[in-house]
Amino acid sequence: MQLHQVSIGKKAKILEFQQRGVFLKLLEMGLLPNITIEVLGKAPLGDPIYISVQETLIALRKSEAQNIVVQIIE
Amino acid sequence: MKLALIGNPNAGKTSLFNQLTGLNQKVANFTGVTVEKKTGSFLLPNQSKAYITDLPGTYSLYPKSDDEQVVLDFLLNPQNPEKPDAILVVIDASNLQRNLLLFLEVQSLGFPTILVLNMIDIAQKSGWEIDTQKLAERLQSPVVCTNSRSGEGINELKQKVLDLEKNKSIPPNIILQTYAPLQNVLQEIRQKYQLPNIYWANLYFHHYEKLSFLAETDKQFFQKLELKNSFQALHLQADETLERFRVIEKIVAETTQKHEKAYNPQSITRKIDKILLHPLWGYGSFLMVLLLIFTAIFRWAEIPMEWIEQGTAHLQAFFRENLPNHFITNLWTEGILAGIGSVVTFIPQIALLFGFIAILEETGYMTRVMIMMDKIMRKFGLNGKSVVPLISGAACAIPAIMATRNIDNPKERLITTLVVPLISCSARLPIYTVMIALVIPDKMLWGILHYQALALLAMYLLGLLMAMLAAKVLSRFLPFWGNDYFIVEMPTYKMPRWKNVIITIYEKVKTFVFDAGKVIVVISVILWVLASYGWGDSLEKAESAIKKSYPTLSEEELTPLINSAKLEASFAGNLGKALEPIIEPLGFDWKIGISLITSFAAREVFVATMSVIYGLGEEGNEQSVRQKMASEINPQTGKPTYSVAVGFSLMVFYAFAMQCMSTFAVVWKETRSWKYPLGQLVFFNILAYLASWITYTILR
Repeated sequence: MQLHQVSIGKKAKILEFQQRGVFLKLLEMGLLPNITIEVLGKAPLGDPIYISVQETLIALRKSEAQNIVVQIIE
Repeated sequence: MKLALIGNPNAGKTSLFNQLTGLNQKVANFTGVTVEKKTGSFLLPNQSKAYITDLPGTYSLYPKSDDEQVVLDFLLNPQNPEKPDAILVVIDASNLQRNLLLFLEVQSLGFPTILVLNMIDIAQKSGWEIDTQKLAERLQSPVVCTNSRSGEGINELKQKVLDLEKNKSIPPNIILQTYAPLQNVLQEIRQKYQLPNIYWANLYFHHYEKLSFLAETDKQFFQKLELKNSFQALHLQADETLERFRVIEKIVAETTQKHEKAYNPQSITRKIDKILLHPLWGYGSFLMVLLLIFTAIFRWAEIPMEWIEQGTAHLQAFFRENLPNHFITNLWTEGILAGIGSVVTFIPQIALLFGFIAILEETGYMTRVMIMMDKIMRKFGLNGKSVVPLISGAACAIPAIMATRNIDNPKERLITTLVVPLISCSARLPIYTVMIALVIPDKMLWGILHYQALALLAMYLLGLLMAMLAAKVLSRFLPFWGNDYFIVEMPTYKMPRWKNVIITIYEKVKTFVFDAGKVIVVISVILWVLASYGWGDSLEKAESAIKKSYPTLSEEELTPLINSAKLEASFAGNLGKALEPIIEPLGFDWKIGISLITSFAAREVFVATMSVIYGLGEEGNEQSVRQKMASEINPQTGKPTYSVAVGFSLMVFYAFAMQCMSTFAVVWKETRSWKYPLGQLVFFNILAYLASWITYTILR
């Protein structure tokens, strides 16, 4: 499953990244493999989405979220 | 002692800088780029001075934007005169894990560091217990806890800086596993450039293409090296980052404890976001915010602006009366003072707009604006943040263009800067109202819609549409640079720190007055010369001719007629007449030609110029100018000169044309290049000409 498919309010664990380019930026923002994230909501027009990672809130476009493979945990 | 301040965005770096330096700061640009550079100074406990540079917020030393590139260039450039002796790394204490990445990278460069755990109060409240002593040992760097909102810990920080000055400890040189296989190459680079360590060499290797201080031959050297060693930059960067995070994870586990506490700094923010990012309430409240900003720069600013205009007029009158009638006096009062006056008039608008923008940034709301508008603005090659400059542009392009600074992506910032002048600003309003009243009937459509109001609305929409269209076209044609992604940290909502707001306003006003201001004064003087002087004694001849033709009139009645004749005989008058054949296809005569030239001082000058030309004096009000224009008959057709076709043609011309010296100056200041303001001048005026010609051809 990819991050943009996770519904709001769900928590998920990051498994891997698909594209190298954005990968580094995501890592630096704290989106590391094995870390738990929570999808909090989306912008009024449905894109970008925003998530909670390691005590920070991060907004990213769906096209970027597509690169993040996750597993739902709750 | 020279220091640099570095840290992640939202770590409270700017507040800390303001706490340290107060108003002892200067804002300039980093060489070659329009990235703001703040430098300042403060006293250490032994009364010696420390100089500090505030570097743009960055997440790592692998830059992904112009702002971040600047940080790298600043640190690596061997010729940098401000090359720091030590670096203060500011960290959000609630998020050690992510923030320490940058710290470790900076340390690897070999700079002595001080780790500043900022916003320590929030970290403690949310249950973080940090063993700072152990952390300092583990990182081999002094650690200070601060709260940049209250100023707590600032004195301790200054003491630590002094200690560091006395005893400069060079951090340990740790070689990462990631680079172990590349040891030999990196040593080669290190020796060639006499670099302090291998990590430094590594950053040269990764970033050589973009480092401003490397020559073309250096770049070729690196290219060859890259091919020979099949260097995979992105791969290595990711590996290094992951390796560092493994180290950080250990350090954090050893030095911190997280207690479960009821207080979660995010919980309030999450609740507010449910409302402010709601499809209905989100846009609703954003609209209210925009309305407030717009009212402020459109209405509130008008009051002090009027005082400034009156004050300038009084000063001019004072000097005119008390100084001998001489070229120098006229130059001073009509040229220079008028120019300074028009610079000062912008201060209220700039102060108000930047007050609001600083509050939006301080509270964290600006990031939400970006998120809400991203999907729409992205289609036009603009940024979510472009909304604020575009809307402000409807009041005045000057503060609006200055506000584009807040857009991080350089391409989106440039496009916004370039299209803002197409939005109809308040200076076009007098022209629109005069022309609409002249050519549009004062009647209702279907009993509810006022024709004149509809025409005005149409003019505003035309400007907005053209701005968006231009943005779309520019985004296609401008070369692609920067990154096409949107990954932003959303700061928690906070009360604005008024000190930061005030410093922002002060700095913006100061840079406008002393930077764009001088260009405005120079252009103002040129315009004054054009309108007040002519070839040889042509002005005197015009004056005596009028006196001869109307021997019976009193001095008072003669003056407006003389002024009109003088303007016609001046350089501006000659230019206007020379323009006539060019602008005739648009339905304009030489009188409009003169007004087009004088309008470069500010568009509303159109009305005053027309008033002088029609012999009404400078004080002719909109109504009397309109009456005069309405009675003007075209000698060729025998019909009124100002037909519907001419009226619209003129309005369309004013809607698109770049004819404002202050916009010109501020675009030059913001882009640091003559290319862009000159480009606007040429392209917008061609656009205005064509659009006006089409309008006139269709309507006549």
